[in-house]
Amino acid sequence: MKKIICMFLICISLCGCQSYSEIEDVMLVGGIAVDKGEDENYKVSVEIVGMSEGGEEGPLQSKVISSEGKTVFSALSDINSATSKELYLSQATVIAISEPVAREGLIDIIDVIVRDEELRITNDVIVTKDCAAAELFTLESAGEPIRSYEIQGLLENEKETVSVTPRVRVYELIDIIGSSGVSAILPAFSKEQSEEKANISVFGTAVFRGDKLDRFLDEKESKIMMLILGQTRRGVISEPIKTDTEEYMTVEIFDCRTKVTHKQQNGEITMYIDINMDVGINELTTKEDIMTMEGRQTLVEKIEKRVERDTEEFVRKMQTESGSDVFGFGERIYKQNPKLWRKIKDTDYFSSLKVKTKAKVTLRSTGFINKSPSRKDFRLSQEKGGEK
Amino acid sequence: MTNKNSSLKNAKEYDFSSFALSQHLSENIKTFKKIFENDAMFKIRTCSRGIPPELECALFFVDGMAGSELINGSIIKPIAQVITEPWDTETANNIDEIYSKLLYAGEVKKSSDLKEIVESIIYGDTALMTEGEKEVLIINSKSWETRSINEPENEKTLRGPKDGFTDALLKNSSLIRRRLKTPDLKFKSLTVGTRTNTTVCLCYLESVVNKKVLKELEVRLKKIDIDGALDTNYLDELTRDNPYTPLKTAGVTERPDVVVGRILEGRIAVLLDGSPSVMTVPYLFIENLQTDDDYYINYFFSSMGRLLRIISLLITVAVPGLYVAIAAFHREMIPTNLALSIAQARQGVPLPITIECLVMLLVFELLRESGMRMPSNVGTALSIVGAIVIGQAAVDAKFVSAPMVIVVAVTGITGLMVSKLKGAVILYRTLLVLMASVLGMYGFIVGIILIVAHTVSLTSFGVSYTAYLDSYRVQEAKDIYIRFPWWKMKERPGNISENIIRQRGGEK
Repeated sequence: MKKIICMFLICISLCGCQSYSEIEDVMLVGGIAVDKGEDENYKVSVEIVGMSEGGEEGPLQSKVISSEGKTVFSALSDINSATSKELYLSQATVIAISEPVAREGLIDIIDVIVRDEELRITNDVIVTKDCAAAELFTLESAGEPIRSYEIQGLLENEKETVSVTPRVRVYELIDIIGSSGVSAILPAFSKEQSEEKANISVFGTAVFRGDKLDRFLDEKESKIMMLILGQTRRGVISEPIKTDTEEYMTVEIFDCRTKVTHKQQNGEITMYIDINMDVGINELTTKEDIMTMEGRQTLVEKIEKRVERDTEEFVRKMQTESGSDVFGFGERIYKQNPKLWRKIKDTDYFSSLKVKTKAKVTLRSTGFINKSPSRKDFRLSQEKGGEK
Repeated sequence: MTNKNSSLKNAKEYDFSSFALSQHLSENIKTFKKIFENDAMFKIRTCSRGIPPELECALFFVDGMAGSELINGSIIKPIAQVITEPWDTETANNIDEIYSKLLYAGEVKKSSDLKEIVESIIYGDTALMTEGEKEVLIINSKSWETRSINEPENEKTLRGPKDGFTDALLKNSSLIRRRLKTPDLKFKSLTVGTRTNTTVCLCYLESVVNKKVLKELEVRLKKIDIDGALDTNYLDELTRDNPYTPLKTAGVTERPDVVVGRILEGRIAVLLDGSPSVMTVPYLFIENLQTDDDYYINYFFSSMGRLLRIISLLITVAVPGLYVAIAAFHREMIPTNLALSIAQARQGVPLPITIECLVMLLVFELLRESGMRMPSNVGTALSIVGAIVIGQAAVDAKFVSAPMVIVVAVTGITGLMVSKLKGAVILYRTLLVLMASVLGMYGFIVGIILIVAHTVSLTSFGVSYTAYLDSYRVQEAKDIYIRFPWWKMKERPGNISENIIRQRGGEK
């Protein structure tokens, strides 16, 4: 018994507390920004979550510290040597990369993220357009005081409400960059200047070719891309009711399922994009009663046409101007017909694909009311089923 | 007892060898006076009878232990007054005649063993001695004052029987007997303590008990060599399988209904005179998490209560260690917001997190312990001191961080849920905090493994301590994590009882 206790005590006392450190003795890093350096290769900035001194429950403060280095990690360790507390990267959520760096390639940066034991591979990766990556951390923020968390929140919210841009984590990015049938996409952020303030805003999507930035898609294109990718959860479409009037309707997408299949015919490959949407009417700016069976049918057809037209136009544009297979058509072909894929994968298959879109819209609801309130026979009590 | 040798020899028992009974009453009176020298409570009453048959006798008893009413009415009165049937003067002092014709007492024993006589007198009996007889009549006249039957303070229940054991063995045995009206119920008595001569009673059901356990228990109890036993805990510590464990391996209760419940499962109850706590063996780990209420209320509700206690046990043992491991080593394991609020709360706190944790746990134990030993009317003041001074002021003054107060509070509350495991929980918790502060999560897991390995290795009178915790047979698992309804409880625990069928039909 004594021996066991002795051994136990020796084991405990000799192994030391190697990685022990008090939580208040580290600086929690919220996000990392990588820019082009002036003298050296990279300028790395970290956003530090600043605690108010004395432990009063004050608001968190965002502080940005930058340093330049030949590599990302050397710059990071440079920052470490300039601060009194150790940087703690495990709670970082966002890796922001500026446009010039992204154009040169992401591999070096991803290497650091994956290799480092503290950095998580669940970090969100974003690209900044017309704005230094580090600047993002100093812009005005509407919600969280820490910009990195604000950006993370934005991306999360985006996905659930408007589906403008995808949310890409480091591990997803690695997968995509490694595979040949699909091009990488990252959310693009920029600043929105208004009077004195500059806000963080979502620009759209950054499209990559390999690991190098190819082009940016604006918000509208980005939305269509999300539709084709089947990543649209929620979203809004506004469409004029008639071609010549200022009357609009706005529908909200409740649910959207996209199916991409291909067919090979006479050496030509055609991609069929089937988009199934459940929508509800959010807004109608017309006085006419269009809520008849035929009226609804026309509305639905209008939206279907619109989606089909937009989609095909956009794909054609990507085929001619970019050549980056952001839609993952290659991967679809690979999954459905590996033999065919082996034949075409080294060719420039993307620009020669034919695309046919079929949209099917189901009108699920018209909201609480059927008719426009301006109509004479409109009665709230009847429409809403309220008091009789 | 001048030298060490003789004191060692005499430690075993009082030496009667220098005394002997004689046929002459006056000699015997002298002998007893010598034995009870300097004992003011020892009384001798001589009485002689003038009318035939003439008697010359003496009564020996201890005041306060023997009931004077009984002595006056049942012994002295018949001797002094009435005689229904005269007998020969030759056999006037024959105690057999006195026994069969004179006495009004129920329990009378004949003895010539001086040791037995003296011990009986001390225990409240009255010895009747006549001239010319070497034998003595021991008449049961025990009637000392005892506490009345109350509900045990520490084991209150919402429903179910409300009586509790008292300090008197006889009363306690009657409480058990009243609930088990069968001759199958046995009370085996033996004596423990060379000086206290405490009566210990083994109580069990002959046809249900595990004979091996019973035999082992008897052997161990007989081996006990101690000057006195004041509570069953003495017996528990002296008879357990694993002397060096913080866990209890024998059950203790002050409730007769609990004892009867356990006897019905095949366990043995050990009653000790002078203590209201009754020990039951063998004891399983899960009994720490069972309460009496479990069996008296709806089984859904009692199962929920038991699950809560199991969760509480895990929380109260693990949470402080886990907190230290995460905050000092593995900050990446917790959500960002939590890490931020812990970091923010820790700003400016002077103590390292391990010391902070240990100090707060100590403070909690101090509060709890002082609250327990305190008269109940001071309890309110104590809780104010605890809540306001320790909680609020310490956080405001930056002595401790708020998350640590929460951790300790959660630990403390859940600890109260499993009060039967109190000692072990405090030890294990501290061990885990220390391990976690040195090796982080790795140390914490090693600590848990050590604890589990130790617990699993324990036995209680040969029965595996953690038996049935891993059972999936309905009849074995029926009373472990959840309590099955009574009609499902068809068997007794197999390795506790020899006769495992409890109810044949049962099924509703």
